[in-house]
Amino acid sequence: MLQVSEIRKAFSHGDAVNEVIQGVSFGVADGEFISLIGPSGCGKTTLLKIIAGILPPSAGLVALDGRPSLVPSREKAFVFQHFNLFPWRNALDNAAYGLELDGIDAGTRRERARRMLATVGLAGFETYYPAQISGGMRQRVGLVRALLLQPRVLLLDEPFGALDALTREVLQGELLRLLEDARRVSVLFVTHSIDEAIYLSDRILVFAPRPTWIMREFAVTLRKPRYTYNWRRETVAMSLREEIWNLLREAAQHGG
Amino acid sequence: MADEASAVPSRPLLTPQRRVWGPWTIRIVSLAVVLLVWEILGRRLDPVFLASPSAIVVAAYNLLVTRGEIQAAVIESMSSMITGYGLAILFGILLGFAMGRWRTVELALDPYVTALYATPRVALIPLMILWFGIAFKLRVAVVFLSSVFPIIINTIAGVKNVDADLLETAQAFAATQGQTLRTVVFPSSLPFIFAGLRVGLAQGIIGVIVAEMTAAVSGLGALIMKYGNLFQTAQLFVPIVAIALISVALTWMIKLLERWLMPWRDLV
Repeated sequence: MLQVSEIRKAFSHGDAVNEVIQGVSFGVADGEFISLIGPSGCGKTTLLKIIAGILPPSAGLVALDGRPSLVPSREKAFVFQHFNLFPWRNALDNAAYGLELDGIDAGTRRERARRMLATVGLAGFETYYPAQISGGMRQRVGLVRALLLQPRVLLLDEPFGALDALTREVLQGELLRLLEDARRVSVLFVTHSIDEAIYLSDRILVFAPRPTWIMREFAVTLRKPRYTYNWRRETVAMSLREEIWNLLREAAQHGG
Repeated sequence: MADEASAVPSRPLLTPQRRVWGPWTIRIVSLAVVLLVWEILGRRLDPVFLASPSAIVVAAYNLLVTRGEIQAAVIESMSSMITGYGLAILFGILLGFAMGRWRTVELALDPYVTALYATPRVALIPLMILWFGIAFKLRVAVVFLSSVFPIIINTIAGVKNVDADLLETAQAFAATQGQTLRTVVFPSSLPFIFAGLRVGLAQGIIGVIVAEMTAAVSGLGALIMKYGNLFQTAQLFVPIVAIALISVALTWMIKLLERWLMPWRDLV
């Protein structure tokens, strides 16, 4: 169980104080998938980085299973929008990075990385460097690098935002399948895409423009697994999309 | 990404010209022409002014086989070169890392590094003769001082140039300070370090030759001085050619090492 309580964040530039997050609280159950959606620049990524422990909050607490968790830990794995693979490591050693930091020996970690890379169709690409593979393949490596750690929390910052529409859909499906094998992981997924949020999530948190707060929370009741049918046709999905869309549009007009 | 090359429309105007000769043919022909012109000029001019290639080959044979003078000089020069350069690599990289990573160290040491780098190291040779004598230790010290600064300065640049996103990645994966240095900072600054190693090598070779010419006891630099003073131009060219060949070989070795350590560099 991940608990985010009363997180606030302000950046100060000299005398000016720039408030970014205005008090955000929510909980994520084990195995729950939550999407964070909101206008660009609203502070979702900042919030994700605070949860990861990369940025300190100005106030508030992040707790994992009741214990404070404000520093980075390999129980909380991060997937970046621009992949952030190391250009000097091949796919295999990029994927095994977290295990290497854990001190797991080369043979074991490479074998585990090889096996999970194969499940996302990267068998045969182990020795390729990031510059030699496509964006979709790079993010597959990014996902494997995070999930190999068997984290309690998976934090994804617009992971498919830099990919073309088709690759994006393929990777959404692959993420869902990877998560089926990692059942206990709590997922926080930052996105701009309402469809993506509906397809993937159990719950969707809609954020206000900066300084941000949670405007509303939606539960996605569509049955799972959603890659087995055309969920876009379901009335639930259509009304949900419209509701979120209206909310975001209104916020963009009045707020900010 | 990989498709970009094939996406470029073919433009007949830019297709390479029909190659009559391969690159190696061109190089060899060029060399042959230069040697031929040199030979003709060398035979017409006063042999003190310019020695012809054939005369140099004869001189080289004498110095190499009959007298063994060149081998001894090469060993002298190279042993001090390798010792001094090796020390410079060790100190240069360590100091560069410390200065690039910790502001305090940089503030404390930067004035000396900048001042010494700006000073022509040749100017320090008389002082170093007082300190180190005129033999091995002097040459090692001069090589060290010549090559250490480019290595320090490039290492600092490399350490400071690490991609902030990759540092954040290491941080997100809860890497320790040491792990971050080893897995991010070091590999990321390696291309810069190698740039420093290449410049340092060239400077070091200049250093060892200048030291030998100044102290003039042994080594290739001393041979140059000796045959220069004797007006034996053909013999004078032999150590010069030896230095040129050694420099090319060492540079080539660094390049190979670079390829081997950073196979990903050609891709980015």
